[in-house]
Amino acid sequence: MEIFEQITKDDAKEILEVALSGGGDFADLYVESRTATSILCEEDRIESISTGIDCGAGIRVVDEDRVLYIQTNDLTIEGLKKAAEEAALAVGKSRKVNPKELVESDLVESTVEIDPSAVPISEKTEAVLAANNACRACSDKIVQVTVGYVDGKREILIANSEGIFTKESRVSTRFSVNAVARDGDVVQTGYESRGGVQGFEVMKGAEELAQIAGDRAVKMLSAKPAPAGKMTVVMSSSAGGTMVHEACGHGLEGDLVYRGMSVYAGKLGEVVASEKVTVIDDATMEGKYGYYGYDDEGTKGQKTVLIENGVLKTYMTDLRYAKKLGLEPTGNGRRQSYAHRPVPRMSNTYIAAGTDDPDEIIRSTEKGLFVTKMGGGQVNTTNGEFVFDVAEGYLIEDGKIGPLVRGATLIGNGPQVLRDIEMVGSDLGFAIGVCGKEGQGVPVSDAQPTIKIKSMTIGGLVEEEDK
Amino acid sequence: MNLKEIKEIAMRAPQLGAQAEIFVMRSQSLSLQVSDQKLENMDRKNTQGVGIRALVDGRMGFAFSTVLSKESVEYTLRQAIENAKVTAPDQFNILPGKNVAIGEKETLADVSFEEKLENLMLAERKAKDYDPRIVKVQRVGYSDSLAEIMIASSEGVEAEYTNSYYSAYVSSQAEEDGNVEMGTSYDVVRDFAKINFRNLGEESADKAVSMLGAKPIASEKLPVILDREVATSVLEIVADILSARAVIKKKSLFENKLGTKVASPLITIIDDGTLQDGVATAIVDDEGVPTQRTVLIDSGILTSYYHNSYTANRMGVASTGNGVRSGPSGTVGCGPTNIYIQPGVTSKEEMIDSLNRGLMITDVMGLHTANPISGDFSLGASGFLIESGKLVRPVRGITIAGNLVDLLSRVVKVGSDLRMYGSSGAPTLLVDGLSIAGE
Repeated sequence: MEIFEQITKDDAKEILEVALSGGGDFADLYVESRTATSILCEEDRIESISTGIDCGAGIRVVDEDRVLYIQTNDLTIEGLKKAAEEAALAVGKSRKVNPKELVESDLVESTVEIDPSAVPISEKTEAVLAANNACRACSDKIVQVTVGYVDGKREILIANSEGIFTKESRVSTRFSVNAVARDGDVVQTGYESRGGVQGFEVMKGAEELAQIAGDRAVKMLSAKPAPAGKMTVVMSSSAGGTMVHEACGHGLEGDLVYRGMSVYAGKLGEVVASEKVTVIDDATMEGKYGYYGYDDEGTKGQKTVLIENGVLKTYMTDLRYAKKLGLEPTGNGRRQSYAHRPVPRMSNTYIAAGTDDPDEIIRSTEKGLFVTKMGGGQVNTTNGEFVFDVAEGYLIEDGKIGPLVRGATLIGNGPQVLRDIEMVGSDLGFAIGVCGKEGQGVPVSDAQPTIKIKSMTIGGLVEEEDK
Repeated sequence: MNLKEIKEIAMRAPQLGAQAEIFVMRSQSLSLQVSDQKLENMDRKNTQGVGIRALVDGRMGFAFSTVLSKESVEYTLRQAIENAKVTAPDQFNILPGKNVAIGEKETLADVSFEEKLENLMLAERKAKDYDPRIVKVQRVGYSDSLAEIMIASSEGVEAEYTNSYYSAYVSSQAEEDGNVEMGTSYDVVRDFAKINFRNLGEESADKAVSMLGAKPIASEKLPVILDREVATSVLEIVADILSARAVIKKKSLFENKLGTKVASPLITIIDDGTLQDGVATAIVDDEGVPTQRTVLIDSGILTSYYHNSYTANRMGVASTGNGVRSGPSGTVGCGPTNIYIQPGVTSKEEMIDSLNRGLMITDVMGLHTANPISGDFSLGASGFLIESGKLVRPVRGITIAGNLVDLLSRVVKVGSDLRMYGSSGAPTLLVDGLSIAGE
């Protein structure tokens, strides 16, 4: 579907006119075409290949405090006007509003090393099988390996009644490995993934990544359960950034702040974290999984310092909540697809590197948990309580890395944990994820340096006492 | 496109050297949110798509599109055939055989837009007025959806049926002495009349208020009551272990366990695609195979896995009608329909009364991090401390941890209060000795 050719600036203007024919303060049109190729390898063979195209549009009209959203898969000009009419009818006022003249911005096209659409499918399946083989070679205890590969291209056209007219084309590729190891009745897993606004180059080093997943599954078989209770936590830069995403990222999203659903609401200019902590959201990091040129409302993606040396500087906003909060839009209006209205979301979010030596952080810890890999997480932004999953962790004993322990959830309170960050390392490591706010999955990446948190609750097992 | 036209295209597959199945879905949905007694958000979605499976010499390929013209469906079929050629052959790959099933055409309940709005406003008022400590109602929402599905294959499947649901939710926020708590209640049902808007408002407010002042307890092992909403969440993960696909893929702890004891004798788990008014009830599954009622665990004994046509063919049994697609763009998986734990005879009050010291869990966090393959779970939790048969105070900032299979065998009482939350449901469960991590 060639949406850029099919929908001209004049068409977009006319559609917006129809959308505002029933009144309203603002309207926008979001048109998207997405192609995807997915490959799944399981049971040592290519099990399925799927390709397809998904295209549609969403028309939004904002009228005072109401937002009306109409979605359609019909991308003919007629179909789009019909959807716009439906929106206008829902607004239902007689006052017709005229959109501003559209001003076209430069087309943004992601640059990738190897365009996946130019790579034959056989080459993709070979790379997937090679990763599968590398993972299986780790140990004969590995009973299953699932390798997933997805590449795709998204073309997005946005026009709004304030005169915005943008086009962007993004290629992204993602690769994941899940290894299952078994020893008697004990089953453990190891997972690794990598991806970004990148091309087939993502598969360079795929075999090494697959080995890491396989090794983790196997070594977890003999690991002891994690302990239960409060402990000092050192998080390696290799662990990913789920902690920052949950502990403060969501709470700094403008919609939750405006609705009074964030512990960080009303705290601009205040100290909300240890002075060693600087938190940044940056959509402009090329190649990263959360990269975009324009957000899903046509605002340029940008780098935003959210917390600087412990002081809260600003929130992440989309157009609507920037206005409501009296802030500048930060280009964080994102959506899963044309079927969803935009909401303020993170892009690439990280705690900036500090000055402490990562090895010294471990040495300085008498007793604690060293987290080397995080899984998913969740937060209750209203009271700041959050959890994240530890996929790989070790006990620290007398400043040294001790025995491996099985996965456990860590629970803490966001503002408290940010204040309890005692050391911030000079390193930085990213991991990718799909954030699921309001049921809309969007690609993000998160990162942090090696950090030391004074105390968190570790959700392991209570040891049985001998009676 | 109608069923006849789709059938015609599917019948062309053999000339292209393939068997094929065409799945077409058209859906319309409405979502509303109210804030301060006014409409805040309205979303109308009209979605369509086609997903095609092609089987060529034992190799299966998929393709999909959101364009439903004849040309597009034909192109998608050719794509599926091309994709099949590069996958590995599997002698058990199969497209289900002849089945003609035309369901009754369903329509959404004849309820006006205004009535839906008024119901939401009522729910909001009921939440707000429940207690002076309710400072705001964060979200009040409603949605309904109607999907028309057609499946036709070169092997003789011709099916047409409708899926529908109505849902509503309320989130209330309570505040006292600087403590902030949130409570959410929701319903997902097949019959609009079954949504109790008044109740949802009051229940969400009660959940928020009753948690005010919650704080952690010390780490210890305690008997734990999982309320039915939490028990349902646990069942949803357990459901993964009961999938024949997981068993085949060596990802299930129940592999080789058919006919053996895998849970407490009080536990019976049933999957029922024919359940009256079930949200997942349909005459056929997403492969056009008739749905059925399957007892998966019977008084603690594993009696069956649930199957799609592939897993059934591979294990030499009949499909249980559990072939599922997430939509036209998804490949065919194996998933539960309406699944629930059969209710027992104990009331929740009796369970609380029976405990000298214990914990009642009413909410968990991080459920998506529980691992159905290893069975290990460690979840953020909140609820109430029980002492001498009474709820004494709210608790949060703790975790519960263990292994799902171990948890199933430690169930000592099953409640009589089964409630369906959408397509899955459970009664309250009392579990002996779970690890709690706290202060």
